[in-house]
Amino acid sequence: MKRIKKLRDFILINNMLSIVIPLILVGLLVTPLIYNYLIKDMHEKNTMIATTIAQRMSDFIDESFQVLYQINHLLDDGMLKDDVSIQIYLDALLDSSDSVEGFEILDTNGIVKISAPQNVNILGANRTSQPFFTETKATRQPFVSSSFISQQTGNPTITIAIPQADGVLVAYLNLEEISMLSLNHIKTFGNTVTVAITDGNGVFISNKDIIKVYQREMEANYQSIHPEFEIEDQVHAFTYEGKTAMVSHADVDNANWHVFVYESYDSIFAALRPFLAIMLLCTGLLLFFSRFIARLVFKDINHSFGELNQQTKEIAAGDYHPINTDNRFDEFNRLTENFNGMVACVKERDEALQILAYYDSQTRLPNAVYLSEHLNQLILNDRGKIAVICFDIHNFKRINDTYGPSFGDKILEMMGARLLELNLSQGFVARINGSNFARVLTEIENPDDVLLEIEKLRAVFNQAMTFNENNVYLRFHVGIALYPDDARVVEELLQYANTAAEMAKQRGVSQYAFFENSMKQNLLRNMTLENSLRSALENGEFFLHYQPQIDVNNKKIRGFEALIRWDHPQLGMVSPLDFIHIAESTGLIIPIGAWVLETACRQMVCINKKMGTQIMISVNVSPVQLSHEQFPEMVEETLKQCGLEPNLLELEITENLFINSFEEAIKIFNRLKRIGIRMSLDDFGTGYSSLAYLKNLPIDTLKIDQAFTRDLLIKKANENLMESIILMAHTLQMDVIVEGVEELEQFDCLKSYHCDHVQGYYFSRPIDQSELEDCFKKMG
Amino acid sequence: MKRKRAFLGLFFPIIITLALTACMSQKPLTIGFVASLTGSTSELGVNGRNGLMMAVEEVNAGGGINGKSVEVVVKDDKNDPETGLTVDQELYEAGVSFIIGHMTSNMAALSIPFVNSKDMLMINPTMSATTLFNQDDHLVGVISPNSDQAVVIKESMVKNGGGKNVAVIYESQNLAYTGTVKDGVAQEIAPLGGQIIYEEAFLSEANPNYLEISQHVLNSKPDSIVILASSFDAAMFCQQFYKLNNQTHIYLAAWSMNNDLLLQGGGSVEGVTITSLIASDSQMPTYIAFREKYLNKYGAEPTFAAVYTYEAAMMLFNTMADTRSDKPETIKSAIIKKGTYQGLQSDIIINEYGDASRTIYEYVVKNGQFKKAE
Repeated sequence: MKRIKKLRDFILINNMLSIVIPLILVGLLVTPLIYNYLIKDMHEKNTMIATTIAQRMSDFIDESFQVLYQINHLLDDGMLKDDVSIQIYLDALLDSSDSVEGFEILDTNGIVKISAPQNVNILGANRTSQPFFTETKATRQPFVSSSFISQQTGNPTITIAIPQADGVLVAYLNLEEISMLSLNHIKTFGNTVTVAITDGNGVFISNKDIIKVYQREMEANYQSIHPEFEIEDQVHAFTYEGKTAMVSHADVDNANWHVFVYESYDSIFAALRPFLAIMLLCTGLLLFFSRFIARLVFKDINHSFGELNQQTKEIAAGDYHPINTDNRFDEFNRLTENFNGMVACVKERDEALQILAYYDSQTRLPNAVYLSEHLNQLILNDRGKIAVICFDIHNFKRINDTYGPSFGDKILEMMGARLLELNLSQGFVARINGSNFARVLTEIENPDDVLLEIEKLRAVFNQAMTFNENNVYLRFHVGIALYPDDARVVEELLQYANTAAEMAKQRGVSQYAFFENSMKQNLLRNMTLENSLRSALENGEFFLHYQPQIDVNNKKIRGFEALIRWDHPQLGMVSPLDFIHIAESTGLIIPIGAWVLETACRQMVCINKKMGTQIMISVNVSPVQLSHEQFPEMVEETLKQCGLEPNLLELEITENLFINSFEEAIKIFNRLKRIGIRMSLDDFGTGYSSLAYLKNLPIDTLKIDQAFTRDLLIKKANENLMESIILMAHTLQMDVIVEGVEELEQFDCLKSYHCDHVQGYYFSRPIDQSELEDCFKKMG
Repeated sequence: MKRKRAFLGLFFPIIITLALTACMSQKPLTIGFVASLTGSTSELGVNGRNGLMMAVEEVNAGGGINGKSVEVVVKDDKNDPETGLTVDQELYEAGVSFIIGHMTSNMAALSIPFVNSKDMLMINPTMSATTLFNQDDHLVGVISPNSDQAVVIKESMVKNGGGKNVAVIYESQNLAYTGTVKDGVAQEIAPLGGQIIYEEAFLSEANPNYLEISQHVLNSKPDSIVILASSFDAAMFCQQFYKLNNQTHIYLAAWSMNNDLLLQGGGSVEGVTITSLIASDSQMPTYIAFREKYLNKYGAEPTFAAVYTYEAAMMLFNTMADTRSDKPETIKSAIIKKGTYQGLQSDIIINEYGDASRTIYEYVVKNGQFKKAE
């Protein structure tokens, strides 16, 4: 997985690395050069020291030889005539010399002729095995011996010899002073550089550790540094006492001695240390500055990033403002410009989405979502009373059916435009769905404000809607729910307002209704009914009552109207008015209707058979049932199964059927008529009572609503109206049944108008099936 | 991940190498070397040190002993028993268990009881006082007892027709050595009817009057003169006898057999008989190789001190390597158990006390050189 880094650390580290790596590379390159330079320099310096000391040693030997030459000269010239004078002279020389500790004059046989200081043990001794005798005699050249520890003095000593007449002149040189040279050098110059002198065998003549001289130790690496094997300018390095040291050397030619100068490599490192310290200091300082500068640079970048980050957050929260592009970094400005472009696009899209989400495209009014959210917001703000006014266009479907859906759309569009023109100040208006709108009115002080607002709205709707030369006047039913009186949540407010609107609708068009608690109870009751309706059929909670229809002329029974009853286990008897519309809205009317039809038909077949009559049965049919595709087949099948003559079945329909679709109603009517059944138009006079229906539909019976019967004897005009309707029906070849006949006067009046049949409490209330036989017996 | 593995692959061998190197470079093995490195007997000590260093270099060049390199702490006993004891103590306190030395027999009196008490082990290259032999002590050696030298001297006297009246000059500081040789000679010549008619001791450090002592000797009219002294002192006596025109044969003990004898003695030592602990003309390949190396390194012929110290060191090193031990007791037992060691020139036989016996030689000085006597 890719590791996530912090930009700041990345910049800091890279900045530091870009400084440290070159510095390290320079260090790696320069340090060896300096190191080599220091080595070379040290070697040269130490070789110079060695050469200087070697020169001094050489001078010492030469000076010592000069003494011998001087004696030789005196002897040769005969200046020293006898042994005594020679002895005196040599003793005097010894007294004046620091380094010569003895002289010997050997004769040609190597016998000591004269010894200074005088020593009887040595005088006359045979020196024939001594190289100072043999070599000097053989070569006639000056001789320098190897060093040895003198038995007389206990000090490191050498002998030098020159030929003298036939014999040899020997001097013993005490090297004590030379042996101390290393120590003295340390005392004078410190012990950084130390010096040692060895003889030709590598045995120390001088060393800082004087014991090594007296113990005749050899220079440990003498063989390696030996001039025989030396390469020009070679730097020797050996380990002494655990430390590596560079060894430079020079030769004392006239004595075959070697001078060594030692310097520990520590001193090179010591010399390198300031350089390394400076390098380190520079690195540290550069790192510090780089960090400082990187921080400064990053501060700007970070500021820009922070700003962008902040703006992004704000934009994410919905604040679409452009970002300031005045940044010192061009790249950042470009990024900002692009970002601003993106923000503008997002803003545009967001607004479009908001319109789509919150506005209705047809009416340009806020939609249900908007309504819900804003109403909720208003409730949360709690700024006094709010009224939710629901208004629905009355019979909008019929307008659509009549003039076509595009006309309906246009109506909605125009309505939206008119509502928008109102420039509502308090609250807003929204389209909930279909023809259903809601006006949210805020800051209400008294209910009159609501009524004023309703009037205002009505003024808008009362104007004719004109499209394609069609004029339509819209009517509304209006329901009002109040916050906080009726409800405190959006859903309930909308529900209650709709309930109130529904109530207003039931009361009649262009009515308004404030929500009341009873409506809520009604609502609850309806809910309960709806829930129990589903199981009522299975549980056999329905039963039928039959109300006889009486022939006016002979007062005999023409037939019965089957009326459904519901014995609810908890609520008791429930009126069809309360549950039929629920059954219709839930679709349960189909099975219930089928049950009613079948039960009524069977009952009538049973009675007719028993009584030997041809009595008709009237069954109410809901528009929902009628518009069901399989309805005519179902009717036909029921008739067959029950064995009822089709002409003994009369289906009662209401004018509501035509509201949905008149054309469709005609088709269904014709299909039913083909079966052979009769069709009856129920509740005539309460609805549209359109003469067009009467003229065009194959209706056999017209049932005049009991409202007309109630008012019949009150006014003469009513009697005339009744007479005219009966006359019209007869003209259209229809039988007439008048409902609600409760008094003899009414019956007599109707009889005088040649009404065919009556139905009402005057003759019989709706009766149970068990009473049917008695009824027959009583009324024939 | 791959890179990580590559790093590990690179580092592991380095770490392992470092670890192995660390294991190999163990703490060095330190031994002591004590001899007289200054003063009149320093020739013996210096040559012994040279021989020892040859052995140490050889062993270290071959990887050390059981992976340990050998280090030597060199101490100067100044031919003084008290100093000798002090430096022995210093070595003991420094954790040293093995001492190669001392080189002169007079050092034994204090040093051997000390090493015995501390369970150290002293490998003796050149202390040959007969009294040191056949003792149950912490001393093993590669040198024959002085009594063997006495036998050689007696036989030489018999050959030269002397040995009846013998005069002896002996150094008294190293009486442990000189005394036992002198006694040995007396013991050897007694059965032949010989005796020491004159003896005189001298102290090397006290500027002896060589001439006077020599005159005393000659005055006793001996038929053989035995000088038991260091090479320098012996040479000085020979010079006096030379000056006094002495014709009596002079016999020297092995102590005197040094280059210094020839250098200081010159013509005066010509014809002198000397007991030699080594055969300088030996053709043994090991010796020839050693001699060549020595000559190259020190610019001089190896002396018996160099040869014997080299052999003593090699005997110790080889036994330590064989036993893989650095316990003095174990080493001593192993040396005794092995019994025979091959020296540079001849076999060295070690007895149950850790004392050696080996071939010694009769040499004469001829034309300024040591020559094996015919």
